[in-house]
Amino acid sequence: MHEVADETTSERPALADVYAAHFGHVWHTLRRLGVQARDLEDVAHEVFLVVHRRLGDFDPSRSVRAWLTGIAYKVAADERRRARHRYEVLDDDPRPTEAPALATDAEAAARDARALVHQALEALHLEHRVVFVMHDLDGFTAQEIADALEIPLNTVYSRLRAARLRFENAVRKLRRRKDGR
Amino acid sequence: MSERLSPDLEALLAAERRAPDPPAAVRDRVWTRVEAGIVAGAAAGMAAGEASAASASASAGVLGSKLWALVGVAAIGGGVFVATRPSAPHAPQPAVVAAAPEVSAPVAVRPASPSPAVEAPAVAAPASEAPASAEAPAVAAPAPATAEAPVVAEAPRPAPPARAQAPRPAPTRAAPRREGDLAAERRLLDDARRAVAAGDAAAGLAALDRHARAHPRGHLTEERDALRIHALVRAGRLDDARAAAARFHARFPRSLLGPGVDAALARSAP
Repeated sequence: MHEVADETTSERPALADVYAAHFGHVWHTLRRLGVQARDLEDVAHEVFLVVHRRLGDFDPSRSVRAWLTGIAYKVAADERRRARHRYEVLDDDPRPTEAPALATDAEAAARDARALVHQALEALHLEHRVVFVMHDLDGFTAQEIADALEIPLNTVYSRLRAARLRFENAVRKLRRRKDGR
Repeated sequence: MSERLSPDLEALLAAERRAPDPPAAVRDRVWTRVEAGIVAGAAAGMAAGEASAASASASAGVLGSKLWALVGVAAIGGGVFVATRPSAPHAPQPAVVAAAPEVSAPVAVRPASPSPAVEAPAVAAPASEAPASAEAPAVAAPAPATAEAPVVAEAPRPAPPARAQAPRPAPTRAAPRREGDLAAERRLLDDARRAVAAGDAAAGLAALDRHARAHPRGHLTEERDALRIHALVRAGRLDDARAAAARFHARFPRSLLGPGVDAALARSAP
């Protein structure tokens, strides 16, 4: 095991700690916000460059995770604007990061469920989608979401309501389409 | 918002919550690019006047100390937490002039910088700050394969930091007073952690009580509560530990420290 004694510990890089603890969360957030599998590494890379620059703004009394999610959202929104023409919204495989081989029935069912979630999320406007993801998937409080996204609390609630309705409808439609095949 | 989703939709979301994490190789590859991007972007960033190195490094210390506290707790818990060690400091160094044009496809080239930027094998605690945790059981590193593999060099495209500047920098909210509080909190928890790791659960619990009295709503309450469970386990007070763990999970259902708490209880089970 390497020790860090040879480093000047006063310059301990906080970014590395944030990265180590939260890379997975940022990754999942980007996927859930619709960043395509082929772009995930690029976009995650950008997120952490922004995090590096903004560490000075971070209020340590708040949730690091929520703060990171807010940054991931903004970078994902930029990416989406830039790359809109590249997206083929419902045709892309929503779960390409998972190994397909040797899935048990339960694993296959879980994968199908995740694919359905991602397809249904595509029906949501991004600003609704992020609220839904943060609240119903990540479990952040409405106040944490309001802080992270810098929007009023009431807006969080109204977007969440709208997002849930749309999500529910999308799931229903996607299932109907699948059954009809 | 009080109304819940239907159980059916909730089950779908539960499946998504359990989505597997990205492979360690991906995590390492992106980190290599982030490091390269920071170095390469420093010059451009400063030219654009956007990188406030001073303020960034100042509060990086605050954030860092909180995270190190987390790391220390996890170390005692048996290592559910992997901190990758970068091989070089991250302070922006306006040294490298990156001039490669943006390419749209990833190209496998060696990084321009000779620094391999490969993480050392996962360590669960900073050697300098939590010596006591050295006796923690072997770290269960989720990414053993990557320990010393020289990360496959994905072209560290001289990252375009300026482009990703969506968020407007908010005024710095961290009051200096907070840094003092946090440091004081961390010292108390360090005391507790050292005591627990050395087997002196009573001293550990006493330090935790001091923290609870001095910082009832502190920044590190989550760490304190997790550490208390480890201390109770060490003290053999398993019923108390289990009760504390139940409260911990109720209060911090998504805590990074939750698995370590459970592992400590599981190890102590007769």
